Amino acid sequence: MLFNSIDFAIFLPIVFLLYWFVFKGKLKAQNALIALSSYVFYGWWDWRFLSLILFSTLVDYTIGRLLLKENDKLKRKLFLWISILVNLGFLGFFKYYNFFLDNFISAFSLFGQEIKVNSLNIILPVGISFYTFQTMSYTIDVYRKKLAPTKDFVAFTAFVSFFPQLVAGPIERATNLLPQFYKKRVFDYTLAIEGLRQILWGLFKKVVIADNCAEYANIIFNGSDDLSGSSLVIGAVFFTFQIYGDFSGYSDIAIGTARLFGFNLMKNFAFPYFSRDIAEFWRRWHISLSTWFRDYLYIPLGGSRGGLWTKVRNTFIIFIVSGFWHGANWTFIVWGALNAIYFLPLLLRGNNRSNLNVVAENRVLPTFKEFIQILSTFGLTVIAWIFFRADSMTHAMGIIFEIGSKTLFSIPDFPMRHKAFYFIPLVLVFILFEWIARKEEFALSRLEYKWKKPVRHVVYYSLIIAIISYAGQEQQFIYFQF
Amino acid sequence: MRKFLKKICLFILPCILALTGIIYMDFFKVFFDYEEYYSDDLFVSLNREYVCLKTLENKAEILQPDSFIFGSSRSQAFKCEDWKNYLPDSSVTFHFDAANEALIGIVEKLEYLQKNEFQLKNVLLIFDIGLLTQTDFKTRNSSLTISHPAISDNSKLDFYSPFLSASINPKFVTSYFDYYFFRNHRSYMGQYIANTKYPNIVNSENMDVFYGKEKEIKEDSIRYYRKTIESGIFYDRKELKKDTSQISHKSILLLSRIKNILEEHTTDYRIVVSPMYDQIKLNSTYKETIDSLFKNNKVFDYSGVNEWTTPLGNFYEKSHYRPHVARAIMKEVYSY
Repeated sequence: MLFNSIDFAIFLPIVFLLYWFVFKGKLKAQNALIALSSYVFYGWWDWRFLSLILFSTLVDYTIGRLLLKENDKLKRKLFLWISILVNLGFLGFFKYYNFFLDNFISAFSLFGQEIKVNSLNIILPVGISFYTFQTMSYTIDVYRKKLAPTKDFVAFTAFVSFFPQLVAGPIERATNLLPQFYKKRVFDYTLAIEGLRQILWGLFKKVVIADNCAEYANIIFNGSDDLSGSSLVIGAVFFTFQIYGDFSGYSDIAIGTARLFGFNLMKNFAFPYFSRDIAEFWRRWHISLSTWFRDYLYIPLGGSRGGLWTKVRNTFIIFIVSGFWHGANWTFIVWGALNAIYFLPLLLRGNNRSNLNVVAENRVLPTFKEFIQILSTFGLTVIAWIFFRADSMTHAMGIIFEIGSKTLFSIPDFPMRHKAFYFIPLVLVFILFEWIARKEEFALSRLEYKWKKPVRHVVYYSLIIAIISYAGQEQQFIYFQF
Repeated sequence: MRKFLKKICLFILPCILALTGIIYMDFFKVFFDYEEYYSDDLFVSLNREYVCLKTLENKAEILQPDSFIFGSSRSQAFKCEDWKNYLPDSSVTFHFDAANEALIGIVEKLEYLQKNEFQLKNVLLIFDIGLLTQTDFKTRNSSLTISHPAISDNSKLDFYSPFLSASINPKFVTSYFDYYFFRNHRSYMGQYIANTKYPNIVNSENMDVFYGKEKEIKEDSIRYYRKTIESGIFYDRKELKKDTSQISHKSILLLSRIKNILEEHTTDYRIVVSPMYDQIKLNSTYKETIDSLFKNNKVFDYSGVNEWTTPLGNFYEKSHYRPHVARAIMKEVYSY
């Protein structure tokens, strides 16, 4: 079920009313309702893959219980590895099997060996990368004794399959989300209103900004062979806003929806395109994944401890694994590696944590230096996104070479360019909203303290009209494929 | 909780009122049934497939059509009256097209007619590369193109949603009331508002569309083509592109379903691949597949560089060719 679909617009109020009216005050029943609703939500796409979530849930719940009883270090380690292998095994098979097979065949063909193995027609289960990472965080935390294993199977099922964040995150830590399923939930008016505002802003980002940018980005990337460098730069910028609107929009809807049910999910985006360097960008982009890798891969690898070589090696590992997590294609690996290269000068100079505060914190506008820093960081991410969006390395390199040619200085000329230029003011208004709210959690956050009621209502209705006007071009969220 | 629900109800009240108003106004003539869908004072572009379907439902008993033209808006160059010259005298023709038609759309229409016990004595299928490569309804999601649940697997919600969206689209609303009060078609109005200086005329029985542009060209062809060239509607075709589309397994299955229905009804049919301004030739694999599936002398490919695609005067704009081209094509395809 897509958040931007009529199906979800009907599903959400039904679950909400059942949750707060029929099952009010009954914690177990509320958790069971969440688990059941989550399975309906996921099964709406393809019910066959519910068995994967159920199996993953059973394995991690059982291993959690076994870890509680077991004190032998070796056996505990064995249980942990069983969980990791099951979860990564699913992920590896459904997401990476064909990639490894194709590369294996290509590698052998380099030595003149022809291997004839047919790749499999595998459907990638939606959100598998997200829920496997979430369940793994549970087992790892239980293994590390940071979290007591749960006895409550229903609560654990609801935690693994929690529908607001099941298919595209934020990837929650068991230490944050699971305890919320044990506590009695009381309806919180302020939290619910804030949740609705966040859903509204998320829908606007997805339906209006991302889906429209997608239209132009697709035209330009699909016809890249015939387009000039200047047109390709515009295409890359459109994709840059598409992926931000799409993914952060999803996160906003997810966090907002969870709030309606009395849950607090972790923040996933913090206005990343206002970052002054690439390190700051990665502290603000897909925070739940970056911190997951930090806690469960970077630190176990030695993190920043040790010499410079260890730091550099670990940084590259994290970025490349993160790229590979996004998809089974060399373009994602190169995207990850490119970000590591961007990161390297900051790491070597030791100033990768120099921009921890919000840009222009007590000012309306950034300084000239900050402005240049923001622009250059944005430019670097735009180049990196080309690899992320391209179909293959050949496609990406073709675009990069064309951008590097003198056609970069020609007048952009691509299909529907007039319509695209009319859309740019709307993107600028969007950026302005985000800039004004950069200290907040999201652009419409705590609006009741800032704007008067009539102004707020004009903004809300304008956003609703914009969303409904553009709703016909319903597109799937990009991150569903990861 | 009560405060929250009360606030939500108050907040959505204007939305509900607006929704009621939209349904009452029924800009696109989809929320209520009408005897006639096209009228002289109509200036909103309707969903062509829906209107054809409703007209067929309303008039099937009286007219009992048994000969059908299928295709996208490009098929509108083919007129039922011209086609009748090549059919038995008793034939009753009907133009059952859809905006941005997909291959699946034609299959579903044939199956709809079969299910509703229509006879399929004669069929004219107007294909083009775009239509052949569309094997699902995904690209047909706007108010002009969305397919009705009777034809597709869209739910009623899927079907009505684009009309609701379009009805509150600020551009549409502005265009509608601007035109309603001032009766002047302006360029920003786009495809929602029909150009009524040279209105299209629709035959309410067989659903043939007679483009107003034909009258405009006849009045002053030089002015018409100068205007369209200057506005960039016709582009330079110096560099010809190749059709790189791949025939998918699904396309073959859909074409087989068409073939089975036509054979089951012993239909006399012709398949025409449209002459297109882009002069892209239907790739040979696709052509061979269609040829091998259907009988000899039933498939006629007019794509690529040829006498029909070269002159500018054969087109209204880059997407639609004119009826005299269709008449010449019919003459040729029925001479075998």
